[in-house]
Amino acid sequence: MAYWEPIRALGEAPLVKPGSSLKDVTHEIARVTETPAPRGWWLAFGLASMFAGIFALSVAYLFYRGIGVWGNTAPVYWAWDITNFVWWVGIGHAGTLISAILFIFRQKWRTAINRFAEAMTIFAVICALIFPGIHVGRVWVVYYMFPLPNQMSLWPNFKSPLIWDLFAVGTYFTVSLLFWYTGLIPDLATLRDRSTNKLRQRLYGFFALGWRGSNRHWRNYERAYLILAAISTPLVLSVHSVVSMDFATSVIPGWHTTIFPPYFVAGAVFSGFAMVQTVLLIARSVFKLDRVVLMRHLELMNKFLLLTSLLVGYAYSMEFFIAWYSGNEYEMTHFLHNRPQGPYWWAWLWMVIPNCVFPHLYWFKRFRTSIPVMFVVSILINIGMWFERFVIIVSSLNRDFLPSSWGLFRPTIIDVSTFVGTIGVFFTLFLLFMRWLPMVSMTEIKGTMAQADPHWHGKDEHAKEPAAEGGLVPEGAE
Amino acid sequence: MSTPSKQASAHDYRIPAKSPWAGSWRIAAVIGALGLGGAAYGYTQDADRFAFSYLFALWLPLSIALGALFFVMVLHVTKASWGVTVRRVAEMFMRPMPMFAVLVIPLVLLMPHLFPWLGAKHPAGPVADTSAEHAGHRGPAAASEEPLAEARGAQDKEPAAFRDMPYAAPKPLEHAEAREEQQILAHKAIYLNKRFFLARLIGYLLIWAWLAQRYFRWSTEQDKTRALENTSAAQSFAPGGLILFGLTLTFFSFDWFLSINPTWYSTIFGVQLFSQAALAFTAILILVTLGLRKSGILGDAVNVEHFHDLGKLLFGWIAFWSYITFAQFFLTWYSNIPDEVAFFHARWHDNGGTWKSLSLALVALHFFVPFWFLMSRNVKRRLPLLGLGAVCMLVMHVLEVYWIILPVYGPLAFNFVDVACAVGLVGVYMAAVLRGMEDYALVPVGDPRLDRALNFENA
Repeated sequence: MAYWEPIRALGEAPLVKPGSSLKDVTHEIARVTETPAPRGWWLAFGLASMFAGIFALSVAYLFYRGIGVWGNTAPVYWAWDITNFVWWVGIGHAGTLISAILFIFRQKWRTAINRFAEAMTIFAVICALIFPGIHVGRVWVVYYMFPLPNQMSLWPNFKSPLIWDLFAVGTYFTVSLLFWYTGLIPDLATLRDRSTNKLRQRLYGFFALGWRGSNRHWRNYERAYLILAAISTPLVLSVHSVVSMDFATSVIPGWHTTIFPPYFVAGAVFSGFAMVQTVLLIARSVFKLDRVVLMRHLELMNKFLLLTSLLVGYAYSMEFFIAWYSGNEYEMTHFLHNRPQGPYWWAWLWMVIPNCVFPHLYWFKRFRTSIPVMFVVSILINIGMWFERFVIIVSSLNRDFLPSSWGLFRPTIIDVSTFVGTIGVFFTLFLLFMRWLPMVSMTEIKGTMAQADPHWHGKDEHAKEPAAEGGLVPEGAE
Repeated sequence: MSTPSKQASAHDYRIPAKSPWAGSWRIAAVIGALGLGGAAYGYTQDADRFAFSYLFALWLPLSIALGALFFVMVLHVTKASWGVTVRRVAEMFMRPMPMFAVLVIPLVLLMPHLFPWLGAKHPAGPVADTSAEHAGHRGPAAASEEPLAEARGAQDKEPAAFRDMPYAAPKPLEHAEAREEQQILAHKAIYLNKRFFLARLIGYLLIWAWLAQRYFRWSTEQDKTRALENTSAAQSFAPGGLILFGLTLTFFSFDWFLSINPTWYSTIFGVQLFSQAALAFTAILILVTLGLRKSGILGDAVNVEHFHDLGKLLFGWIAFWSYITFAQFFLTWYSNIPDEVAFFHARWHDNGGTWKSLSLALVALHFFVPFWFLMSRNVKRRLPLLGLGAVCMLVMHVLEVYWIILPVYGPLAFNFVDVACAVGLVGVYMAAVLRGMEDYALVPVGDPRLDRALNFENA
């Protein structure tokens, strides 16, 4: 047996359905953008755009009446808006983790899900950035958030984590977009070459930037991809670390704790993976992608969910233990009393049980490979991670240092409709992406196939048709 | 691209009898014995100082052994193939884990000198006792060192919380602070008491020794049997092993390094100690494999491609260490809560400001310089330069451990007992590691993924 072949006795397996040719892969992925949308897509799109409409109405009403239409109140001045912001930014994290960090760690299984996750990153960050934008109250001066010069006698406060946040999320969005687009170029060329009508040819041709699949193109492409991956890697850590500093630089019990930066990063990756899985499972069944998205990929994602669940659980336990260990009465009151036994105890349970209990099903192969189980658990994790941010933000604020100012936050209908609306915005964008762009990276997935190995001497009757593949001949496939 | 694939069979990867590595353990053992002799003399001079120096010295080999255990388990949990050729050397470093049960005994006997919850009084803490009591407690040796006593005197007049205030600390507040500290220690007594503490210590040591032996046996058995079952078992046990490892390391760090500061706490502290261990071990793995390769023992099994990957790993751990350490420093500094910030005061203004230079050196040489130095692909593939980076990280690891523990004792003041303890414990540990290397092939020749590792190339 040759050393590059999977050792089946150790549970190794190919990453593409055995017996697939290069052309099968191209066809399965490109087909989605070339054939009329299935009914499931239209149903989902109608539903998603309806919620996007609700979002537009909610925001219009918010601008008309002011922040008072939300439930924000003294002392909970930050509530759902920032909860939603952190939740969405977190969801965006899995994209960069999968495409950059797993790339650097040579985790080839990422190829089935990376394009997907990168697109999700971009749409999730858009949804996230909406919230600080609409929370300013006076939307007509929203540009004050940017570090503009002194004409307005108002310098941005560079000591404030909120300003760092703007830079961090802005950089993250830009780099993620570049990374996503760079990866798309060879695939866009494939779509261009497969197009049968002029409009498609022109459009995909324009965005493919004249890609011909020459050796020089590939060299430059691979190098650019590696460099962008290296730049994105620290961003995965920095963005959510800075988001965590919005809270942790304060002196509020529940917000100020030194583990916050890595804890937020782990939580972000956790929720991002859950969201990728939710969306992937739907797409896989609607578009029948089971040649490239195998059970093995889903199983590996479940292992990742288990790992990040453990990391998040570690952070919860450290907060809990150190709150007691510190002997600091404010810390103890908050962590040991107000969170689990205070007015938001039910939110605390929603945080702990979905995030730290359900993922443990994935210790068993039976559950790791069951699609209904993973669909339900991924949604539960999404809910749990939303409640984590809710617990951190609202339950830390509702009982502050002065008991006479204690108060409870209650969401209004506009809070709910704005949040649910952003989910609509996200899915609207995502469904459009699925329909018009290759949702799995054809080039990268071919790199994991046996045909791509320089030592491969098997037979592939389609490998002789490079023109139809946008010039994608894997090295050594004579 | 079509180079013939490399095979393992040509080489047995054992230390030949004539190699300078054969018998080198004796040299390490002699150096270690001399160091321990010096340390014993140091104990007779100043038991307090000895306790702190020994704690510092113990963590040096222990962090490396734990880093090795982590590395081995991570290679299995990720089913990685690139690292198979260096895994045996890592296993050699985790193998002497049981010896720490013996090496820790002096610390167990000296616990009342270390831990405020057993009555130890540290000058750097906000304990408000008089200089006279101090001199008596520290013994004649400390009293005779004039500059030290002076710095401590200044310390007593001005506790941490009043450092930046324009007036002297009022006496009643000092007492209140001492009283609060007593209350906090009483609150923690249910966790920090001698019996439970020792039970936990035994638990950590047993778990670590058990994990190390298990992984060592699976791997060395496979040299002869080539059984795939061993790899399967090692893989499926790794997640549970890593969970045990993470929890024990965290609570070990709380027990031994957090609790020597009476009121300080930090949720990230366990992660910080972990990052140290992982980083220090990667550095020593690079150095030892470089040495073994130079003597030709590893043949071509560990070549520039593997060193490139080890270099990436070293770089990654430097970034991780910096991230974690910065998070701890930055959030503490920004919020400036007295209980928490005392830790950094002790390493900056307090203790007569003696620790400032080391604090700055850590920023420069534990992060800034090696980070930019090791970023380049060229540096990671030029083995002497990579070795230089690894040496830098090892030296800084020693200094960082020193920086974490000794400021609790007092101002920065060189003492021979620090060196004696460090040389002694590292020497004894290295003797065990080097002795073990003589008995086994230094590449896991039975591993099913060995061929892949031998043919590994960074694309």
